Amino acid sequence: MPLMFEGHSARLVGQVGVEDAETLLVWLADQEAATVDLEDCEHIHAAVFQALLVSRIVHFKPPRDGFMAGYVFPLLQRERSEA
Amino acid sequence: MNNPLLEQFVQEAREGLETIGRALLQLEHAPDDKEVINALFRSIHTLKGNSGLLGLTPLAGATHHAEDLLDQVRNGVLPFVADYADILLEWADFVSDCLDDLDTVGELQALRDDRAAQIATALKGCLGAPGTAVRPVESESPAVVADWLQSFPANVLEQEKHDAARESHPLSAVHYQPDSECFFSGEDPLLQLRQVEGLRWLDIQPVSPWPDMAELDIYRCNLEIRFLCRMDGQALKELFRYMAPYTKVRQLQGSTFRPVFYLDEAESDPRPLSEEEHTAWFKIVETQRKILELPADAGIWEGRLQSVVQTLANLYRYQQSQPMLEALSQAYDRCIELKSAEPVLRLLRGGDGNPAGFVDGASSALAGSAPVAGPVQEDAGRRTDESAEKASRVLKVSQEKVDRLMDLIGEMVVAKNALPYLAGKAENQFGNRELAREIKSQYLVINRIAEEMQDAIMQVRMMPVGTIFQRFPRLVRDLSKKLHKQVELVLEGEDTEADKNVIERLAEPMIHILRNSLDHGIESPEARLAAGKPAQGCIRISAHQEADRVIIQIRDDGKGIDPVQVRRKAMEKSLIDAAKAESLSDADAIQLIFHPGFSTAEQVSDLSGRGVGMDVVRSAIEAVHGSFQLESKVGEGTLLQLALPLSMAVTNVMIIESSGQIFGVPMEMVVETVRVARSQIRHFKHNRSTVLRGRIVPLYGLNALLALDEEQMANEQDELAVLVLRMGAENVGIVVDEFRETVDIILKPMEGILAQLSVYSGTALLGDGTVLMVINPKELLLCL
Amino acid sequence: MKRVLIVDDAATVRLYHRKILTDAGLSVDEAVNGIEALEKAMQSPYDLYIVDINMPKMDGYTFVRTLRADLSLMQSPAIMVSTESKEGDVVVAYMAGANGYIIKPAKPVELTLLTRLLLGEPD
Repeated sequence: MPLMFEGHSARLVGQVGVEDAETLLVWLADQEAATVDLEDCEHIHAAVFQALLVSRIVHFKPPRDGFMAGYVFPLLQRERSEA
Repeated sequence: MNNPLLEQFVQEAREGLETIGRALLQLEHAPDDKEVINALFRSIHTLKGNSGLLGLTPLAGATHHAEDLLDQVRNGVLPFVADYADILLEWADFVSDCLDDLDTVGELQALRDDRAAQIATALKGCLGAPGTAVRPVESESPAVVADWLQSFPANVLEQEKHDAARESHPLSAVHYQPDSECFFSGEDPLLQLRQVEGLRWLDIQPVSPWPDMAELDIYRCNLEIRFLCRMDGQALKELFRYMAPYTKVRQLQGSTFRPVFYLDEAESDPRPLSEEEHTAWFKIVETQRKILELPADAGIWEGRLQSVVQTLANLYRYQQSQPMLEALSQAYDRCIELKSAEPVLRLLRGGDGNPAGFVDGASSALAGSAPVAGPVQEDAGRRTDESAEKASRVLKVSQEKVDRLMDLIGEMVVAKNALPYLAGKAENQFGNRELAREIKSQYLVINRIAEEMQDAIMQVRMMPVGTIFQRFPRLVRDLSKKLHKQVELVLEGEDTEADKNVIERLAEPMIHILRNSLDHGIESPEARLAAGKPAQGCIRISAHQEADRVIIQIRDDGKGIDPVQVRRKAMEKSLIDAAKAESLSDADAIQLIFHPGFSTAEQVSDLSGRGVGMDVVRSAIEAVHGSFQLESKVGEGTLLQLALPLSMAVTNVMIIESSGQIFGVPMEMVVETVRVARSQIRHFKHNRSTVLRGRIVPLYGLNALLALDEEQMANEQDELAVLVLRMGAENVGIVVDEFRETVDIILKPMEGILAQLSVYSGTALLGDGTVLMVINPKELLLCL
Repeated sequence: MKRVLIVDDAATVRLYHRKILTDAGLSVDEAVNGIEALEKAMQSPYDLYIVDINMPKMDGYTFVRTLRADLSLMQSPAIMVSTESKEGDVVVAYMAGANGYIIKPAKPVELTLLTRLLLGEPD
């Protein structure tokens, strides 16, 4: 399972595909404040990226994957700081 | 006309006139529409250029003034007023007359000169005072599209370019805005970005602002992506080849190509130039020098230098001057190193003691000689215009070429039909069953390909009904003015497509229907107001596709067709007797207007048609195997619905035998085939009939209809073969000798004297080489 | 064989130029506006571009500028054609990256010579 929820935190593991985007979005919409753990996430589909971008109440645990950490994560963080 | 250039000119000019006519009508409603004005200007401009190219002086002259007028309108010197439309429509009519001349006699008639002068004077009269004719102010120039590269942060660009240059890497900028539906086709933009090598900088923005989470459609991609990377442009284009329409790539650093400096042949004797060559050669060199002396912005500096150097290299190659090529090559490398055009310029100015022998003062046709007046706005010339006609990547092919293809495919269909015969021969005559089977399987392959080819060529022949619709606004405008009626024309579904033949044959009847609607349908404004309707009437023409038919509806909100009057008139013309008139329902009565004898010259106004009636419409529609339906309510309006086949190229026919010959009958008319025992046939005077499923079906012998002497043959059980055909609401039985198979054929119209035999709709070649005559049953039964 | 791209929205002009250039033994391709021209140039580069200025969708200036801005393309000579001098500011054409400017209709002999010189091929 690439998506794991526990209370107010979600863990994204491995490759998170387009089929998980809606589940994540629905979960995020229910949260007052959530933590998303990207540490073991190797890739997120652009649809998942969109879901994370629009939910502005999220705290992240940064990813280890090079591309995720170098390019995707800063964009997610920037959205937070602008919000 | 036997001049391809002239033919092309006339074709393009006619298309231009259509655009112009449409634009003028649009401007009457929206005189400030910049897009329409621009389209109009461009069409006139093209026409002027083309007629100048052909040396058609009166045409080019008058058109020149039309262009001047539009130029002033375009530049805001003059507002577009209704008078201009009238004068320009007059001019357009003049152009149309000129084109008719070219079509018929291949040159302009002498009388066109005077007309051209009149129109030129009228057009000149519209122009604003000379002093007011200014070029457009920069801010007003339409739709200058900002270069996408400008959305990249300048400091990042500079830094990255600098670093890439220092490390001798290429650098490219990419703008990638995935299709909003791209997730559905398995595209993952982030995965795509992962595959980019040497990604240096990435930014992702929403295309439209993010909505609330609740309203977000997560499956719509709303991302606009910009990045810089160290791949060269070609590699990037390869990587993004499936997203090409959504991707813009520009290589900013490190050229893929270097100008070509070498000679094709190693021999190094310089080639002596003729006087003309010499003059032209120097003019080009002079131009390149001027170009390099002009300021260039950083974005195109290197590309421009390369093009200049390539141009110079080609000149030296032309001259076979090895030493100059070497000098140029070195100078180019210095330019790249120094980021300056100076080394090449020095070479051109002769500063390096160069052997080019640059001659001064060769002012040039090639170079023009516009002085640089003040700072040059780069965007001054960028009149990018998105409005534009729809056609872009369209190949224009003449009708003949497509028809030729059709014919060839038709022949192929026929040729392939020979294979089953051959298979039969292999088996029966030579007893080789295996060969027969192989031929049959090959036949299936060829058959499939032939069908696909047929299908493909049909697609080529499809065109939108809009091509004929576009003539209507002008028609309605002119006619309603003449009739003092107020009519709004609404066109819908212009993109609906059908076979070119069908479309083209539709134009005349449609015009006729429209005229009728305007003349007899829509009432005068006074009458309409009195009847409690808005003063302005409405004619709505819509097209859409239903299965394999194109449905065209012409609907007006006029006074409708009065069945009482129609009955009376039909009786006056002796089309029906009183008893029949009585028995007709209202809905059936109004169909009488399609009867050939119904409308005659005396009651036809000069508008609704040169002495022809709705029967012309009927036969035109039937000629393309279409059908129609007329509905009308007195006081409320009329609806005429046409149903046309998408294509008329392939016909499915049933082959029948009669009098020892074979004939084809279109399957679309065949209801069923039955065997009727001779005893079941009733005779009444000369008429014969039988009862099928409780209905009386009149029977006619095919031989008798075709004036062949022989009796129809019965089979061993003394049963006759009867082909039941649908004739309007009735079924009619045609007695033949024998039924055979059905085949798909390409129907060729009858040619020459045979074309007058209307009982045949055409001929087709069968697989064994036999010619099949295809019967037109409707005409056949008219012989009765 | 050298390849030339004619960029013009007027079919008559394209036909006119095509005839002259094919008679000169060149392989000729056509585009009806700048966008189509760019697409074609990106697929496989041409040795010479003959470009009209006023075209729908993307005009000649923008086409040449965009061509010159992309270093992944071969920077072949480009000449602008225009019906008259008033419309095309020669300097704007050169600023955009054109290498020549001619008034159309060009005489067949002149266009042929110009083309041969720009391609570096006497015959």
